[in-house]
Amino acid sequence: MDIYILSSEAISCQDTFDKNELFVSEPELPSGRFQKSLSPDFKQYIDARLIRRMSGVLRMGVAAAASCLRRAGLEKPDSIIVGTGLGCMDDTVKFLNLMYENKEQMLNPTPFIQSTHNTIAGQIALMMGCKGHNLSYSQKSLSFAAGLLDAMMVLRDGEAQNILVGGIDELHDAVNELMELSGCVNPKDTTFYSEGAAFFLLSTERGASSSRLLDIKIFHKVSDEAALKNELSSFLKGNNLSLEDIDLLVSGENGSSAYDGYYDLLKDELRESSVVRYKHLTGEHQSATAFGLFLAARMIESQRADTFTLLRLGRNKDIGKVLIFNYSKNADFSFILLQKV
Amino acid sequence: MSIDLREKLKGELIEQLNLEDISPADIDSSAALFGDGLGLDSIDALEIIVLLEKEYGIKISDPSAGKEAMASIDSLAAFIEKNRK
Repeated sequence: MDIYILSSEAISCQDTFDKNELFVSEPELPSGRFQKSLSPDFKQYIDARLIRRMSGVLRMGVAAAASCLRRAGLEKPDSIIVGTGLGCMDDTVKFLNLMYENKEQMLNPTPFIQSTHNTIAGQIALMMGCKGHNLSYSQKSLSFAAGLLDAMMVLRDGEAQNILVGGIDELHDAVNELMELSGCVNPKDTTFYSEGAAFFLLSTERGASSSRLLDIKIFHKVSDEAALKNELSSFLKGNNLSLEDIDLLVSGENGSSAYDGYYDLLKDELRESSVVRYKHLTGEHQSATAFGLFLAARMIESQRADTFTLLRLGRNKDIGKVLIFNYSKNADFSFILLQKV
Repeated sequence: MSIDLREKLKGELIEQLNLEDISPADIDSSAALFGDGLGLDSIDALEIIVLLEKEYGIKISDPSAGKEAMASIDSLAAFIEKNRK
């Protein structure tokens, strides 16, 4: 069964929300190691009575989901699936601090209720009145890809006709501090960490869609470069494709001197493909690959790879088949394959 | 009844319940806190119970007394003045 992307929406630290064209003018390169997202006017998307209780990640998720649905011209999806590595970190930290400060007594209910990872998908469902399949995936940097894989399976099983699927994560000072203390942040790298939300309406009906989601593969580790090459070729072969068929590679490289090697390997393997990157503009977080899919879907739609993300122009200028490749610290690999329709 | 206490309560509710775009002057002391008035809900009621215990040392053990106390700012202030330790 064919699966189409009917609409997409993303909130990031760049001006990407509610835009038909991305990076039309030169985006500002973020300074500093941690970059918050730009906030749209949330009140246009969220009921004023509900917004006061929502933390940043809930606001981002609900607004991106609502705008994505609006773009598809749909009132509510059959199902909602969200991938998030760290979930509602702000409320989690708030609740833990309250537990510590109040010696586990007199705990405020709001941060407790909203501290779980599945609050985001739940809140979106409440706002849309969607009582269908509602799941949240939290598998570090595979969170979004795992959610997308589930969405594909649900659609192929015929359990839903359309699914709202998204990837979302938020920054928090406490986490940033822990990352620095644990040596996760290499001062010599250009990597910066960010937050954001990207949502997609997947459907078995083509509608006005420009892109079809062909396949996803996720795997935890590879033993060496040859193993990654094998994973790639078997993935493409499974879709009756060869290396030369990929017009565009969306690379998840983030400027890490220690861990970007496999991206270079894939660029060498797909030597005839154009290559774009995005994390130098929108940053790294555990659901960042959702932004990679967002960029790919929009590039297929516009048939344009902008100069601010383009690393290499390939043989074929037509953006027909796109491979989105992501991993984190030599683990949690994902391939997502899209095709122009 | 202390006017200061009512004004203090309004400020505490605004902060604790994240009542955006509302100032103490916007809250009518005699108006209903729940339903048609300020539009608070059951989660807000729990937040107010925590607030009463934390700030004023008052534990609400009788649900019907709590409901009556949380009817408005006026009733909440009266309840605090009667029960505070």
